[in-house]
Amino acid sequence: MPDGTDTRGLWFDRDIFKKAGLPQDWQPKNWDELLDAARTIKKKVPDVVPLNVYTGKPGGETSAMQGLEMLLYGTGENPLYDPKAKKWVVGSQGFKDSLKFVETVYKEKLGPDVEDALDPNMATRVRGDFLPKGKLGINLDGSWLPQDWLPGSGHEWPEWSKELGLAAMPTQHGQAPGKVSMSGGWTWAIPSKAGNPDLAFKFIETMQTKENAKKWYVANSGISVRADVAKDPEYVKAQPGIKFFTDLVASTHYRPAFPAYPKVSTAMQESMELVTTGDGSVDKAASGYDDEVKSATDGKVIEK
Amino acid sequence: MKAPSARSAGRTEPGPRRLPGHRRLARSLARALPVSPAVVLMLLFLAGPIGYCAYIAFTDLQLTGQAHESFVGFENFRTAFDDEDFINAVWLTLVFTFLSSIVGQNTLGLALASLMQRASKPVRTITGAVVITAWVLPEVVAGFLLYAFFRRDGTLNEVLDLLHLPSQNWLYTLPILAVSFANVWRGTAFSMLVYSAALNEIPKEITEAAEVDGASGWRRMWHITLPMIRRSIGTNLMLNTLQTLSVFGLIWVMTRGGPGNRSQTLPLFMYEQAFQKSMIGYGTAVALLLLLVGSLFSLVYMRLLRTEV
Repeated sequence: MPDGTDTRGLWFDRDIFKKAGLPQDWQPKNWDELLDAARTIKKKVPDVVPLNVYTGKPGGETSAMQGLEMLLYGTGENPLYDPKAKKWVVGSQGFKDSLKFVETVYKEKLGPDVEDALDPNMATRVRGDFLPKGKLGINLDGSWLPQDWLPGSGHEWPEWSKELGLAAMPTQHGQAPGKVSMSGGWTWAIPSKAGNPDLAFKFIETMQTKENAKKWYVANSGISVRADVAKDPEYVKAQPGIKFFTDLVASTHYRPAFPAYPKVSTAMQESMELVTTGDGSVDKAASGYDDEVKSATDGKVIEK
Repeated sequence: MKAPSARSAGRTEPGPRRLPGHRRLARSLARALPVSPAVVLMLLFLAGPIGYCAYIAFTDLQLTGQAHESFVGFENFRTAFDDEDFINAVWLTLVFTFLSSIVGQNTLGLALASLMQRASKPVRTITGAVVITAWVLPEVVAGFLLYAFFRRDGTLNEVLDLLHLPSQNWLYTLPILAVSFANVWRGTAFSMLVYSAALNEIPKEITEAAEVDGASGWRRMWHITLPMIRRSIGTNLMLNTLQTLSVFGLIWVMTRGGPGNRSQTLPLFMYEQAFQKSMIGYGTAVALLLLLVGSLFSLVYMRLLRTEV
């Protein structure tokens, strides 16, 4: 029983954008426009971090999904796994281009200092410190951030909806559909050996009534999988941005749900870290990734 | 020496009172009976897992997504020695162990213990309490405290700023030094306790005699104290080293082995291979190699212990 999902996009600081002379209804059309906005911020508002892209092994899946995959899935169809061939994609130009983007962000110092970017607590610091204190221009991150800012949460920041703007992550060259997002999600399942499956099913039913589901999505900044809740004015208005992120579901992607994925994800994180620290070139990182994917998937790879 | 005769008591007795074979056997069995539950438990929960570990180190077992594992012989070990990340981890482990255990914990523990011998009681109590607090803190808490201490806007830099000294970020620039320091901070108490006990065992007369002979403080330390606590030094070094070799939580919390893999010691490397990349066979092979490093250290210390003064 699907329970909820999430999407990812760009959060930007309206105040920093004003100072940098960038539009309040900003929507980059491709990677270059995104990088240019970051360069403008760096030039005009030098004491803030222009653009955060999660990277490296300390961030774990955060780096892979909010970072590299948000880039990779904007480079073309099925860039990570080819469902027809049932093979993992290696040696693709899209992968190199995505790494090149990460390298550019950190080499040109458009991103956080590398030592911050590789801090295991970076994601928490972005939500609790960088964004609320107006120290970050653009943040490539998930739809759930406001759950930290709701009244009663760790970093209460009710003004966020006025101070932050939202934009969809563009595809590499603006190719159709023009924007890209990644989604995870949760489901409820009843094990086949459950002692009382009927009661368990009733429990799920109660939990997923329109009223209860609405309450749950609002409280955890989740995205509804019920169409009627998604249209409900109370859900739509509960959180500015929830409509934006719900609409992104139309252009979202899911990670390949195979046992090898966690290993592929680790390989992605490693390749990102290499270009972030500057310890290795894009080519070296990409070929290291290819080797690791080959061994992680028992050679079930396809060159693209 | 009592030890040998005490040991042979548990076995069949070769002594003068020779019993008929079957009675001897019956008696041995009767004597073995009380310890058998313990032996069974040990076999089941200690020898069993160790044996299983040794077995999977020779397979290509993965945690997920594998239909069958197969026996691959020494393949995992060959992979390890060809893997520059593994070699890097071995070096870092040696540096970490040398800096934090042998130089840091051991020397600092001895220094603290001998200073405390001469200190007044309140000083002794307070120092002891502070040092031991660091030791009893759970590893994760200690790791977080030191992360907060070393990080760029952490306590250490606040203090350095106050003194108008240049700031540092060793977690990034010299991570192996930062985690070594953390391990010293956390583990010195143990050495201090061992050495305090050892120093108390030195008879006063000997030190006094040396003093009367005009031996200075350093000479007393070198010629009297150190030789007399030699056994404690050996024991302490062995325990320290083995514990330091397996430090995981502290480094994991502080740096996750990064940046790059500049603080990735063998336990972290092993964890990454076994649980993040799911290559449990390879990870276990690395664990066996770590065991080998540990036993090499132990051998050296055992020799040190055996030599009589």
